[in-house]
Amino acid sequence: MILRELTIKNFRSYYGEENKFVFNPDGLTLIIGDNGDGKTTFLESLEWLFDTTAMHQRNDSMNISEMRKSRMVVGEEDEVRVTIKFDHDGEKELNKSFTFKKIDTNRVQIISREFVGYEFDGIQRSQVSGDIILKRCFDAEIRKYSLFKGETQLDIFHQDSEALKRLLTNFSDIKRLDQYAEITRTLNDLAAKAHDKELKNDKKTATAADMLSRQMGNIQEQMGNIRRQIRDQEANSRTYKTKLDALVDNRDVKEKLDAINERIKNHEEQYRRAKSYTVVDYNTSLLDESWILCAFPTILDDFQKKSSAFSKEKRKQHNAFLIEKGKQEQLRELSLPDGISNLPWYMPDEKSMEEMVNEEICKVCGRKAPKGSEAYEFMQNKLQAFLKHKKAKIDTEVEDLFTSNYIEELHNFSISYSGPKEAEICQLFEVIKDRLEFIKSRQEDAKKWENAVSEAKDEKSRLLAQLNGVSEDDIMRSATDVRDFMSRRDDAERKLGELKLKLSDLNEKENELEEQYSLLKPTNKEAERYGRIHNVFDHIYKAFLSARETNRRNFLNRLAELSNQYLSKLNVTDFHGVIEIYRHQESENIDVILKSENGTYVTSPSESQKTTMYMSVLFAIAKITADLRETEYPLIFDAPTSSFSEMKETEFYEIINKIQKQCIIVTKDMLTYDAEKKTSTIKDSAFELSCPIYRIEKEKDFNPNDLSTIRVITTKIKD
Amino acid sequence: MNIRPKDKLLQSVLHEVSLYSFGEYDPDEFMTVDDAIDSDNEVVSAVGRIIERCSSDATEREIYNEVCNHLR
Repeated sequence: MILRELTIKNFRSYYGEENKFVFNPDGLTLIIGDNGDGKTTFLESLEWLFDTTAMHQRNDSMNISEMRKSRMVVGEEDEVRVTIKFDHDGEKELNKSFTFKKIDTNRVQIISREFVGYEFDGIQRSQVSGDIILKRCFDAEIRKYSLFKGETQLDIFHQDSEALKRLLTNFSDIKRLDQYAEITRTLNDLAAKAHDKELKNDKKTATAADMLSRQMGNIQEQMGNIRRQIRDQEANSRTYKTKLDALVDNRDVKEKLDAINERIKNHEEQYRRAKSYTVVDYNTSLLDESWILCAFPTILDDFQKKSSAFSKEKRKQHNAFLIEKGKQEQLRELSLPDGISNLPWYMPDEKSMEEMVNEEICKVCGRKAPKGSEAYEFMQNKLQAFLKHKKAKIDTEVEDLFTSNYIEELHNFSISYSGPKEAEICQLFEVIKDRLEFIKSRQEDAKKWENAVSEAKDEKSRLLAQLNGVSEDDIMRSATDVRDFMSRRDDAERKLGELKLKLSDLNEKENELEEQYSLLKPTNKEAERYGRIHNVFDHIYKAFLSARETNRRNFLNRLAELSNQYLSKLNVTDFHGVIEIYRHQESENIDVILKSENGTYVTSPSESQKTTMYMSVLFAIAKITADLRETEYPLIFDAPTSSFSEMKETEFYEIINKIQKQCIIVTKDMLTYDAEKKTSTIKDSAFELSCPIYRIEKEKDFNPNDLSTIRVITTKIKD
Repeated sequence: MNIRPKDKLLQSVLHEVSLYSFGEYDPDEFMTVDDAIDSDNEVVSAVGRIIERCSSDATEREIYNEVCNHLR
């Protein structure tokens, strides 16, 4: 199967039907797109096309382009369609689609489905069922070795321990040889029974035959047990090896995880410390620590203004009253020019005024007021006015406008709270203000550390999400588990060695018994003849077993040989090691191992080494299956090279292109990101590659919160 | 010329050292199952018959009886 062309219509972000890809038939086709630009959807459109289970239909409505849905009017119909044109014993086409109708603003209904294939014989085009054409040209087993999502999926051999075993079964002659080995075993058993029966009927050999027969039965039973134990130990050894591999693989992750955990711990400590400073019991502080006085300066200021205003108003009204009462003389003495309200008669108080007169100094304005000066006279008059007022107040209390002194009391109150008391409270206010600022600053710190903890935890989640189900505990247990796993693996391998020795001993004993059995000389000619026939069947049976083993070995040798050829090509300038395909004796599971040429295991190959190793094996599998089935199939990878350096990418793609194998790679390599413009562009080095290149990207000016504005634009940028 | 799977199978079995040593035949002389069945060598002929009868869906008992009669 060689893919020629793929058309995607209205499949998720691939809106409309202009999404067409024409593929290089015997080399690389590169499809470049950034995150969210439809790379995975490209691969999933193929998976959807090839999915013949009924399951996929359940989610079909999820596969409709949101943009298409939003642009349809109620009652309108359209379709989702994925079509591939390919060569496989002639030109063929596979087409999966479904028609849908918009039934109201938010709902669509699927009306019909179609899965068909077409064959061209050069003149006519005939329709075939999609299932049939798919099974004939690209069956499920082949697809397992053809489509890969992400770098981790390339490791099909560890993810599925039976993968290579199945491959061997399906693509070598093993299945047929297995069947023949089974048949010849039955034929041999029949011959053995017939021979045994004759020997037991023969007086000369009956006793010996019976004894040997029982001994052989016993040995075979023991061998069966040992084989079962070997299978168990092989499984144990493989399990612990896989766990050890995972620990080694995760060593870098563990280092990163340790660093993140340390960061989380420090940030949490900083957060706790900052938080502890922000804990304030406002109820207690308000009263016990006099925080309530925090508002005093403002309140006092307000109070002073109000009491001053009341006092001023009272005096004004009082002056008016006095005028009305004809006390002009008294008023003249007290009034100031230009209608300015004078100080109230009780300010300064009697004692303060006497002190100022006696000391000949005005303590209100701070100037000297010697006897005979105007200022001295003013102070004398003020004191006399106070005394007169006091006397008059006593005398005329009944006649006065204001019968109580509340305003004066308030004013005095206001004055008494200003000065030192106010200064003291202002100082307290400053202390409280500093304290509150400190708390606010710690709250900001706590918030900052809380965010830092949250970011570190997010980073940790992202790291763990890349591990395909390996938990943090699994990784963190590594230090103790490495020793434990190693000891268990060594134990399993030691037991395996012992069991294999035992099996070999039993095998020898069985051979000896068979030899003794075949040397029995019966008197009966028929028994002798059955002995000869049994011997022929026995040799034929063992030849089939041996042929099966040879075939298996040859297949795996060929796989290893080809894999290593591809590995050298993909790593021209790097250390690449040697791939060994290792088969377990009894379980027959197969592992892919990377070794150095001197026989040392490469215990922790880098991600890019592993990727090229797995890709080499996949190329080798494709080559072998192509040779055996005389048909090609494509290799399609989604982002297989995320661990590659920039230099390695270009080199790698150029090599892949020259391998003469159809390969489609969907990748975000070869892009440079312009942070200012927030756009990515294809690097110049991509244009130097000799393969066709497509660019997929979201149409500009989309709304990041609205799926119905997302559309992938497909552009062929290089032939 | 395409080799039929059963001929390929025959060749891989006849080329087993233990079998050609035991049967005393030259494995390169037998290219097809038909060659093997027609052979005078009873081991080669038995292998040819087993493969032929298996590919024609005979039962194990039928194959056994046929090969047994041939070897008698």
